[in-house]
Amino acid sequence: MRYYPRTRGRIFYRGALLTVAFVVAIFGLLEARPLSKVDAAQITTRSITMSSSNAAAAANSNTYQIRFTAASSYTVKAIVVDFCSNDPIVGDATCTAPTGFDVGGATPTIITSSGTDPTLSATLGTGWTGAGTNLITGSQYRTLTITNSTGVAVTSASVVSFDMSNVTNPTTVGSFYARILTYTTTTTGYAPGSEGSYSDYGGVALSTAALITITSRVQEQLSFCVYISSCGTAATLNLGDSHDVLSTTAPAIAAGATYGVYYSLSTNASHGAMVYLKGSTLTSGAYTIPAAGSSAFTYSGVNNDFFGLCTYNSALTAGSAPTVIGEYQGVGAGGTCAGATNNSGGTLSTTNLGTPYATFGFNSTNTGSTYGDQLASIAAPGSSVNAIVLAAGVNATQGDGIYSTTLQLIATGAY
Amino acid sequence: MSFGKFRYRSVTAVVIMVMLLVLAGPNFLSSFKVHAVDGQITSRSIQMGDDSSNTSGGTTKYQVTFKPYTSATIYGVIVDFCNTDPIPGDVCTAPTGFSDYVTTASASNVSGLSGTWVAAQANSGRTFEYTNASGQSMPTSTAVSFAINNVTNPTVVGTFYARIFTFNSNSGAGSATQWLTTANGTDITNDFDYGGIALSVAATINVTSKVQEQITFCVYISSCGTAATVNLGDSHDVLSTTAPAVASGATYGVFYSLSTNASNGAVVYLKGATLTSGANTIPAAGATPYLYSGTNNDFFGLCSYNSAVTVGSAPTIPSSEYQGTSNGGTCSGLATLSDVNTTQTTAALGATYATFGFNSTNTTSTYGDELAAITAPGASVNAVVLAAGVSVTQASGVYTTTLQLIATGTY
Repeated sequence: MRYYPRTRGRIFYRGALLTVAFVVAIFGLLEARPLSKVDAAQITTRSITMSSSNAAAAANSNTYQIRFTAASSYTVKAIVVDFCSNDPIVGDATCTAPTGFDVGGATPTIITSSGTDPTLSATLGTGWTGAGTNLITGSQYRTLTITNSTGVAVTSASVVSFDMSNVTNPTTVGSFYARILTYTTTTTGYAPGSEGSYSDYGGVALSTAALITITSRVQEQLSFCVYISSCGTAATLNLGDSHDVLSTTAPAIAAGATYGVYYSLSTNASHGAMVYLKGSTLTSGAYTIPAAGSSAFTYSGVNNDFFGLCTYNSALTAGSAPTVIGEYQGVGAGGTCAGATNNSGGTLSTTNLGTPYATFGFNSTNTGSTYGDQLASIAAPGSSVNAIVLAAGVNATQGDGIYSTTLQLIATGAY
Repeated sequence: MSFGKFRYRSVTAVVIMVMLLVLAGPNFLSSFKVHAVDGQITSRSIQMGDDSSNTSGGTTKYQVTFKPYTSATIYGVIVDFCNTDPIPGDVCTAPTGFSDYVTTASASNVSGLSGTWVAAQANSGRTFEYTNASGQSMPTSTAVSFAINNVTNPTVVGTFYARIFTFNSNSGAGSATQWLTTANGTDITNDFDYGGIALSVAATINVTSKVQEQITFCVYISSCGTAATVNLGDSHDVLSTTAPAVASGATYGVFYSLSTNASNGAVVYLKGATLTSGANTIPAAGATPYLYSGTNNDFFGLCSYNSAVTVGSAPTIPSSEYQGTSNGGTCSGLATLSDVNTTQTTAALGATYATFGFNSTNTTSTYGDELAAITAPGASVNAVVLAAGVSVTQASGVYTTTLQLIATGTY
């Protein structure tokens, strides 16, 4: 066993005492370190709501709402919100700024009154000034401090809330943090690890996240159907009395659900669509029944030699009803195309034209051209069902024969 | 004899004496005391319920255990707590701050004792007295044990002592009552068996750790870190007028994982606009559950459901438009019916149909529209099912949108 002289033993003993005292002191300091003020308490129900979780959001385009419930009663005159990438622990001497982050420059915009931000249900009121501190780079700051020399009295139940706009999100996806501290003076003396004499404190974790990017396509569409009873059925009609014979004393009318011709038009063409009428008048060998013409044709009584048509909107699903070119509107005599009565295959009567008479048109010059004659059009996307009323009459000198024609309706969308 | 030999022999004699003293032990030491009839109790201990120095006024229990040295009828036991030593006959000073009672002395957890034993304190809480007027026969083989209740530990860290005495008389000489007439604890004429015990209060181990506020939030398709890019439509990403396109399931659905220790939970907000192509938009499904009714349904919406819960509860979806269940269907029922980039069929909506929502008024507000929430800490993975359909009049174009899910923890 080694022998220690008395003096050496004393030195050893005193050294041990000093070591113990030192260790005790260190433990004491560590335990006290989070609280620079012994009565400081942690704020509750604290959150920071971000207006965007996008790490690539434009600089100074985001708004953060800071909200918490005070932990004690005092007059708050300053609030510090320090944003860190490493941790939210008040008392930690290191606060590394989140990459790319900025509280909104040296003079961040803060909103403390619901007068400017209706989403704030509890506010600090007016008179607050914001300042960015702890310069990161350029004009980007890490720490927001808001102050009000008058202050606002809070209690342990007071909800405190304010917005800070012009925030630049961190440019990396993931978690980052904020440390919130309140003060009863406008001079905070705040620095990480040496926070000054603060009243309440608390940490918050936030996160940026990946965006959901959705892409879909809508293709150009045009649905056009010509039919008598339903789309897909033939549009073949016999115009005349029960023997398909035209009359010299009354017009034959093909209208209504049984005999009328319909076309349905649906399109998403942004500039709408046009419907062209193409074909010739009724013809039998060398004979033709005169076309009603390019202006509204009014049946005048008997011996009216004509073939024409008018059109009207029957049903509208989307958009507007097609606009009809003048001679095909049927209204030249004050009547309506829609008022024409179906008598095709039945007894022919002038009352079939409606009261007053509907009128008809058939611009054979145009209908015989390459692309036909414009019958109707829509100027925007739409979906509709439209009727075409066909009418013909003959005079006593009209050559006999079986008259026929094939008409086309051609729809053209303008996208 | 030389001085050297004399010194050698003297040292040897001293060593031998010390060895004898050590071998004789307490019996030798106590032999200087004159007990009435005495022997040292054996297997003695006092187990402390708390060994921290007491500065807060809290109390604990001391479990006293021993075996009698001599088989006899015992009428009393005294435990005297002393600051200086456990040696009977020495003056006993109470340890600083020590007390063996609060209002009255009491004992509990008794074994080896029968009959009626009455607890009392003396000397301002320094001395604990436990007596039975009828006495009890105690063999040397039976351990006696009882707990002294409501003990206040010394306030000074370090060693203190207890002296245990038994008494074979109920009154007069040899009784605990007689022993207590000497207040400083020095009486060794009335006790029967005796024994000393050293105890100690020690520094507590104070452990401080910090748990920081945490939120881990990830939005992805296949795994966290992958992009959440969805092409919604048929094999050409084209939306249909006759059936909806649905992006759901592991391949195409969008997932978000949310883990937080926020004591008041967290809220997930949905932010963004409906599908847009230049000036054209596909109508948002709206603020009420949207039901696809057949064909030509122009809408863009979503519903959400919990996919997995690791900790806590699954998020609740406060707004019915995002629950997907209003038509009797389930949003989660779409998980296996992904038809993105395949032929569109109404079956993709499940049977019965799920419903969708997209409250564009709220989703385009500053902080977005609340999609889901948890009210306590938790960890979960949740799916977001996207759906869209168009009418025949929906303007053609490439429609896109960028949605954000924003998580806000409330700590």
